[in-house]
Amino acid sequence: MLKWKAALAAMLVGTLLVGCSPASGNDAGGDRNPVIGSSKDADDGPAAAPSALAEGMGSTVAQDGTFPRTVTHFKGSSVLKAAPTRIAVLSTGQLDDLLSLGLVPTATTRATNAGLVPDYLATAFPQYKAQLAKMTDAGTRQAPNLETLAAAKPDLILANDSLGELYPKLSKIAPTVVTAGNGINWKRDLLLVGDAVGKGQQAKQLVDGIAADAAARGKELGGVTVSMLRFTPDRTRMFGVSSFTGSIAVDMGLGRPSSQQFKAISEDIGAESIDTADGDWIFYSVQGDPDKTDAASVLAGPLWKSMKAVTTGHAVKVDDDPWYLNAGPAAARLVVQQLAEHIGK
Amino acid sequence: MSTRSRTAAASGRGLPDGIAILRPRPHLSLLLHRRSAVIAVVLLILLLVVMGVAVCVGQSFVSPRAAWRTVVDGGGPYDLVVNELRLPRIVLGALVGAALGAAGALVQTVARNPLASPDVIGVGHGAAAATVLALATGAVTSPGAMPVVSVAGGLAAAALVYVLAWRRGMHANRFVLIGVGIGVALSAVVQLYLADTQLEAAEQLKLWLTGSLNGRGWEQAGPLAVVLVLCLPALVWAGRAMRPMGFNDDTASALGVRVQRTRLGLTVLGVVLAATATGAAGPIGFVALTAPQLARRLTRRPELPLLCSALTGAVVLVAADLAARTVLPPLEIPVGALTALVGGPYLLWLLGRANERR
Amino acid sequence: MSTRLGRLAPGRRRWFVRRASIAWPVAVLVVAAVALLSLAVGTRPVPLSAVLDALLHGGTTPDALVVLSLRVPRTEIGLTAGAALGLAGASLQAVTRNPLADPGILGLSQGAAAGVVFAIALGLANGFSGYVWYAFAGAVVAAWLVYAIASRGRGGASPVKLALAGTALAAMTAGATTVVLTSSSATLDQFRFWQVGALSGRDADTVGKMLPFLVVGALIVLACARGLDALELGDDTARALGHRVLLVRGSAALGATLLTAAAVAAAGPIAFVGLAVPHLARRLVPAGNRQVLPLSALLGAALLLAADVAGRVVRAPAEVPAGVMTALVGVPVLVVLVRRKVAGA
Repeated sequence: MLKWKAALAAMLVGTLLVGCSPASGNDAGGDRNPVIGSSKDADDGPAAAPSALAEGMGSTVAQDGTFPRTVTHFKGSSVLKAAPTRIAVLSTGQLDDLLSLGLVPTATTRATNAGLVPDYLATAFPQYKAQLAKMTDAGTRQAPNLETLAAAKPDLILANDSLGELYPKLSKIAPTVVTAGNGINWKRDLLLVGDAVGKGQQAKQLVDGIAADAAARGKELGGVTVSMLRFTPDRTRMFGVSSFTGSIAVDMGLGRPSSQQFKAISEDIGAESIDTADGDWIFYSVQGDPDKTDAASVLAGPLWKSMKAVTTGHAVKVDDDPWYLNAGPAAARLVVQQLAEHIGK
Repeated sequence: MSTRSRTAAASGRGLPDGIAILRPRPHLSLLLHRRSAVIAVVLLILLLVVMGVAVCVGQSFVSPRAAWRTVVDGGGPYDLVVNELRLPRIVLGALVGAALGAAGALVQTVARNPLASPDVIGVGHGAAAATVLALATGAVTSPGAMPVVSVAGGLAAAALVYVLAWRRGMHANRFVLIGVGIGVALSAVVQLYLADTQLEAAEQLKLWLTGSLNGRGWEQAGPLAVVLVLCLPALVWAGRAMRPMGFNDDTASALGVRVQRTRLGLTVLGVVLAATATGAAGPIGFVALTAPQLARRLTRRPELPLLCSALTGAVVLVAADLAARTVLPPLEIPVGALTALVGGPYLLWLLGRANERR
Repeated sequence: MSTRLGRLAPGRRRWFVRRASIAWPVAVLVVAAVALLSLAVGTRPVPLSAVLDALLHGGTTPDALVVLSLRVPRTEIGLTAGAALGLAGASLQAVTRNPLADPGILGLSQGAAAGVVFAIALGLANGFSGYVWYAFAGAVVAAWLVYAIASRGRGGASPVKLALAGTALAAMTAGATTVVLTSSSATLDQFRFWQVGALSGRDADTVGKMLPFLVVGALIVLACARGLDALELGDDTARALGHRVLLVRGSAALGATLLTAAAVAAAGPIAFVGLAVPHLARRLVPAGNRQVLPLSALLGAALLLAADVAGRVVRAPAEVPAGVMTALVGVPVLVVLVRRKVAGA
């Protein structure tokens, strides 16, 4: 029965392989969740978004509009001789940052098979419509086309740490500033971007303003629990405390269901356990065509329909881009507004 | 170098058609197949031409003269595009293609089977699995160590295949079939780990798994070039040792060849080259598979030509990369996907022809 | 490849017959046990009593909903797809006289998967009823290609040449599929959902739609059982015995292709189920496809379901696709078989 032995051995090896992996999900999210610098902010409260620049980061000059300045970022430091006018943004959330600071970039990348400008930004900034249409398409966020980028002759490139490997090449094209990335860092990324373009103080005001607005609006809502879900084609994920929307919930003083009080950004949730994601309110988004993906079957299933939030009509479908894909000030404002509107009704 | 070439007609002078013997020194003689030598030179020229075209063509066209001046002198308006963006990528592509072509020739000769290329027998999958495991478990974090991990993974996978396929000797078909099986198992392991990693990290990993030259350059080309140079003596030996491997084992032994040992040596060399190439650019398939066959068609010899395979591989990869970055601008198609698309049907056709010839 | 009872010594003959007579009940028991396991195990911990309660009395508690609306369909699909693949594998091994034959190794599963991707990419189908026809077309094309390529040259379609051609075709279709998927995000989304989510049985009608294909395919294959037995003795002998060789071969291959297409369309590209199972079946019952084929179906059902259960457990809360688990088990079996049966260059 050699075959049985072989099969048994295979299962044993397989189990060992599998068992030797780090435990999934509810650990501090440290290993598999490189949220840069966030471990230093344990005193910021239960995983609010760190609202100050990371240690050592930022520009050498405090006053807005003063150049030249040296900006220290996550991959080193770059010198900017003059106020940048042709900015290239390569990573998610940075287009949002620039538009909110009143600047329009000359080149940008896009999420795979999406448009250059997410809908929510086009709606929030109609005044820049013409300029946005003139932006150069530099490829996808994960594989930007360096030649197109170089041809656009930028004088500042913004990227986040996921493109860190490209930093040497990018910095040869133009001074490059690398932000942390990951939704939880949205505030400090905005501050760093502000420092890079010479609008650090304006960025600070923006951050404080949004936080204050969130707190004010949140006070009226009471501490209801809010569940955050995202349906992707093959997985369903729920978002924890250290995520973009999680941090906004903290700012607004909203509670989270016990299943989502983990420190990692997000975690898989199986269709069988979808009811553990129940809360007073559920805000979920669907990536891709809802009919052709996981969402359709889960949302039509009896388990979903038996959840408290669903039966009381408190399950709201929201736009994927601002909630779960782009972490920036305009997105934050939109999330706060939608949370307040729906819950406050 | 004094050359006394003797070409023989059917007058039975002792040397078959097209063979020449070079005697650079009195004690040194090199057996040379004239057509292969000519083809090698032609391929080298072709490679330089294709590389030149790749330097000039892209999002913006750079005239050949300006490109030449930029490469030689440095500086100038095209310095960024040519010297920073295009040239490193092209050189890396040539090196990776050459390594893969040579590796393919070596492994296919040992296995006596056109299907047995390193990417089929699991080297690529092994490198990928090792990289994914290292990234997913966080065991390795420094970016400099990743190529080493890939190479180690590729070598380990090939070693596993070899060990499993060895049973009172090595047989080519066993080697290939088990290699395929191990490759499938390794990609299953990769899937196992991808299932649980953070979504963002999983996306990055999946991109690496397709094999791409985007954004890569001198940092990757350097180690690869070093490995190639170190392997040169072995490659010279391999070029000669490969010839009798085309015969079956009995004939080869009768000719005085230590069959099993030679086989092992050739396989190890091939796997090292393939694993290093994979570590530099990610798993790029079908180059190691098709380049030796193309080269053989050109040289019209029964055995696979090592040098010509390497050159053909280099030409193929540089051309594929050029296509990958210019076909759908500004989209960067991973070059591994392009080679799969083109190489696949060719592989099938090849199989049909190979069967016919037997 | 098949044992003849007559050749065995009387003592062993008795033992073998005894073994054969218990093989069937044991197989049925194993299938039932695995099915129960599939109902009891999942990413959501449901106590066995609750499972039984839900099965017998129905109910609307979350636990009962999970069992009835998620696990029951999933188990059903696993059983039917597994049976189809086991049967297809046994049939292919008989038709090609090839111990290594399996819908995956011969490239049929990948061909079927490519058919589905084609359908998805062109927006031609969504859901099992649509996919299955494209899967069938893809599998037929793959089978024809593999056979055509392998049968050229001396020796005809020898086992090794078939396996090699099959794996080459599989590699090629995988490459082509990757290109299609990387270029269209919408296709990729739907594909990922099909690949991963299909066996989750969220579409409860899938089993009902699949059963006709299973039944038709099984009938075709079983009708050829005697002819396949004769084929083992060689084409000429079979002809002398009065069997129409071409018809038997063609029908059995057609049946196997239909079964593969249905299984793949319902449960995604799963390989290696049909490889090990026929070998095991042949050891348990006396020779003769009339017994080996149905037993392969039973064992195939058990194997696929066991793989699916394992996939739910090893990386909880994420689910590992059943195809991954069957590969991990099937490859060692492949290695053992190749070591034993393949020799010579």
